[in-house]
Amino acid sequence: MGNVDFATGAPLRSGTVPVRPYIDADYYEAERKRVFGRCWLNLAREEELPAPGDYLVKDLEVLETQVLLVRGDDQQIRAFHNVCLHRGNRLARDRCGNARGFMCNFHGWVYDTKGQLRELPDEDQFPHLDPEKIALKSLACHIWNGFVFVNADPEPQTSLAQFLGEMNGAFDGFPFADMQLTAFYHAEVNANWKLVGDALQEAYHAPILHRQTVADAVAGPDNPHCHLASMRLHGDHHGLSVHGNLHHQPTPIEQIAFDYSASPIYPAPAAPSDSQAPGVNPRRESAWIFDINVLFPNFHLDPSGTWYGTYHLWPLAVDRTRWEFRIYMNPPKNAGDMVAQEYTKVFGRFVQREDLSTVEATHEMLRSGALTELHLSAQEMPLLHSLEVLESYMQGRP
Amino acid sequence: MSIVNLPEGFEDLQRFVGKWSLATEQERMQMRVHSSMDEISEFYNTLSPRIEEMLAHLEQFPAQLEALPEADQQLATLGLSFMECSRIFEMWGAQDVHCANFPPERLGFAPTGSPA
Repeated sequence: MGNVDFATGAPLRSGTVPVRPYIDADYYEAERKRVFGRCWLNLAREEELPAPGDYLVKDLEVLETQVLLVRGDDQQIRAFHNVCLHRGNRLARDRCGNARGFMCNFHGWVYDTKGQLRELPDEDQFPHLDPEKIALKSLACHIWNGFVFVNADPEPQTSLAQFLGEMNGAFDGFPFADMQLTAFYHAEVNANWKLVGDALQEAYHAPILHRQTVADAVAGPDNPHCHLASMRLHGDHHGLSVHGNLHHQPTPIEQIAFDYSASPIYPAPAAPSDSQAPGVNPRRESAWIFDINVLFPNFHLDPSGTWYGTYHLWPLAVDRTRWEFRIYMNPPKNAGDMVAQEYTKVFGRFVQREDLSTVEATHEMLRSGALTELHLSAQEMPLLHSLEVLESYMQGRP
Repeated sequence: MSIVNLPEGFEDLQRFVGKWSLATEQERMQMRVHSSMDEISEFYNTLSPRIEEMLAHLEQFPAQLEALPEADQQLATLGLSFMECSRIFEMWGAQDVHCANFPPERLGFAPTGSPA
């Protein structure tokens, strides 16, 4: 299983990666502009803004800005820097809501949901301004499978479709919009954003780090080192299918939780089907639990058959990251199903804390300078790929 | 919410309501990590033979806690606390995973539901 890149047929590569990108403050400063300032970044699901006037304010610390996402009367979702054009005051002050427009609370400039200036108090005193030509500073904003992406580059080098490349159609048919946000956990982690992301894009660690939780569901005697069921590189991004142990013996309560859930829940093995989205478990491996898709640079989209999870790794500093984890599941059919689904949330929390339990100590030890490089197995090739893509942006590739 | 009697047939679980019928996931997590192993073990051992009956009973209600009659709501939150405690206890006889480096208090909980 999993000895080749399923996308190209090329053998998986092992190798070394440098430590510097994880700990160096200058590297981080350059990353902010060359990577986060140029790549498409996922900020929301479109269901979070169902009606015209619905808005969300999102912190984008890595670019030292705040983004205002708002659905216009024309149903389009737009993204703006949350700043009044007059004297630079923060415009929307609530984190979310519904508004016909936004009034700056400094001097009362009012913008509509398309970002156009609508009211300019004491307009006569601004003879140099044509209010009709004034609009909030926008960010490029596009939607893919219901995920709202923005690009802070005033002239994005790629469209979202070009950026996603072969990932584009991979999830066609996946019922993202039918699922609901079942759990949302977040934490501030004292480690570089890539160390956090790296811990979430390989399965080699599962038999050891997750020995108390998910190890038996994903490894087991047929696959003791939890080799991936498949792996594929798609341009800047990649996908991994995580092996599921078909001999996994659920504990009594785990079995009951599965039995009373209307649709299979984590950590039950998932059943692949031909009607599934083409890029989800593309080899239709029967011993499968879920996929990990890393959409460069910081968004993980992890679908199974009947649920999906997402991670966002938001850099706050070279050694600080805001980690966000969401679980989306089929809405429970009744209160019994809802209680059974709780099992997945609790289980997920344990696994997440295990994953987060190594990254801070890792960052501290890397900062010591004792190591200059790290060794990756062929099963950890996704980390190698992520760093190669990162380096290509850092070298200023067009 | 004040304590009410659990639905008929679940009277034997009444003594757990005051401690474990908690409305939010964060409260239930806190209760698990701040309870003694004796308390968790008694809770688990008493509820595990009853959890299927509880789930079957709750299947007649919609999946919104607030929409349930008070007695059934308390039964549901008791079930949610049971799910909170059961996994790590039945696998490892423990109340939490070995995660000294990342204690549960460091997790933030954000609102959920539909729409996301």
